[in-house]
Amino acid sequence: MRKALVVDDESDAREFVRAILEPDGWEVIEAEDGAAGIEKAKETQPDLAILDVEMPNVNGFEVFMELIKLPETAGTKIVMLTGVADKLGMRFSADDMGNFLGREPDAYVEKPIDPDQFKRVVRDVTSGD
Amino acid sequence: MVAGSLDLAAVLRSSMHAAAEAMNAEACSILLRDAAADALRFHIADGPQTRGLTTAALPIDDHSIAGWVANHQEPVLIPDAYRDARFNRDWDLKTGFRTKSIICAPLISQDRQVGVMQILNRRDGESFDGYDLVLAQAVASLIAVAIHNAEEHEARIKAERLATIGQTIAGMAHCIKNILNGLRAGSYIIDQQMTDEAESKVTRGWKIVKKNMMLLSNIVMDMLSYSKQREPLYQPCRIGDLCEDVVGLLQQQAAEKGVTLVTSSDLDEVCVDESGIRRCLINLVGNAIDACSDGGGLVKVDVGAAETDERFVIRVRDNGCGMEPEAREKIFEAFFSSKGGKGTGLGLAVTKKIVEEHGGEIRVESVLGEGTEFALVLPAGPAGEGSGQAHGDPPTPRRRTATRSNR
Repeated sequence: MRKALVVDDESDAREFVRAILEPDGWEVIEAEDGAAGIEKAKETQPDLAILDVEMPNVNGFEVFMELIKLPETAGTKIVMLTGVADKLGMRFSADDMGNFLGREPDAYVEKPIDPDQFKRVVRDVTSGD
Repeated sequence: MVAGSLDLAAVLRSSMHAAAEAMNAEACSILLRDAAADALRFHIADGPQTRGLTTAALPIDDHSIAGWVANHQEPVLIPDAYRDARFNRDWDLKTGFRTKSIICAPLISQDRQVGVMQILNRRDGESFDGYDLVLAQAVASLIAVAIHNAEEHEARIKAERLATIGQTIAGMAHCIKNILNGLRAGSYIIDQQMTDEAESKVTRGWKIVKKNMMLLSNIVMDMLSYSKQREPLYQPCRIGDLCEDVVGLLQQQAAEKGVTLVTSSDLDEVCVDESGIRRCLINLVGNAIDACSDGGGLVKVDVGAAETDERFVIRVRDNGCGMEPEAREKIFEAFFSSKGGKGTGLGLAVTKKIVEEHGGEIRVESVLGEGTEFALVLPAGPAGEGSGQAHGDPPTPRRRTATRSNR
């Protein structure tokens, strides 16, 4: 069974992702903050990680940067979830791009999530597997 | 003294008092022009019997003295009010004041008519004369400047207040979007359980809750989009699928009005801010449904290449009521709505904002009684190179017939 890790400090949001993905045959693993997300990722080596950008302490981008460095999660596809698109302005700045170690998230999805769009993004991102 | 103050109410009060004193008159009233209602509005009248006059609206026409002066923009001197056809005795009946002689002058500042001033009854019992008229015009021009300044000051304060509200809303965006996300999560999970259930009161009630949740969510998302300047988040987007999503989302709303929604796309992938374009489409298709009369409505959403290869067009066409040219002029103004209490007047303002943030343009064609077409002409990708575009797609819309490269 394909594994998806959802890292979000909002339990409703995690529940939402679970409800969308489980019927499509995903095993959904939840983590309620960035640090727990990194631990769970190492442990379970998910095919897909869905990371909320805005989380206290370790935010979604920090989790992303950690995951792409770890050998356990080198093949994990990554979708960023965001409430405030402006935070993504960093995506267009060369300085910050450097921080991403040459790799960008595979896709961005804005909250509130549209289930159809989300499913499509997940399908696209994981279709090469 | 009068021209220096910036509080409109205080300016009016002191102006009327000063005018009555300068003219040695029993009463003075000022009517401000209400541009929105195209009428004159009494604000305050300074005199012995002024109750009941403060908010009455008066049409700008030849059926009253103030209306005539506003309409013709020239002063009048009326020695005996009761012998003038334009004089309306109702005012006297209402207030118990007995009008004898009137001078009424337009208040004009910088070519803009701000209102009308009326001076009533000389205190010595005589009728006003030519000398009084000249004096009244001088007083009127001073008052007009004072009112003009005060009104501009008020408009400035109002704009600042709106900007503050905008900032507040933008600051709450994250929190609000999380709540909307939670609502959508809950409704999605309920939906998953309800699909096979027969038509019951629960499903009927749920449909209503869901529809209104979506309407509220759309208003809030429009407010959030409008309150903040943002760079589009360019991502590869299958534009035909997006149109189908939006049509699916509004299917229930359309079905309730007997409106058919159809969509087609000649293009496959473009690079746009998907959430933004989704907002535009939700607004345009929602408006199109609203414009259709009950039964027989048809809304078409088509995507195709534009005249130049680097651009593409999304057309949303309806066979609804169409627009008057006057309405057509105003549709992109924030808070303008032709839907009464149903509209926020934000939908098209937001749509225009998002399209312009993409470097695109929005075109409208409308024939009254036949329908309306909105065309969003958008670049197929972000302008310039090295903009951080995720997948390096060339800024050319891909046609549906072409083989799609695997991402």
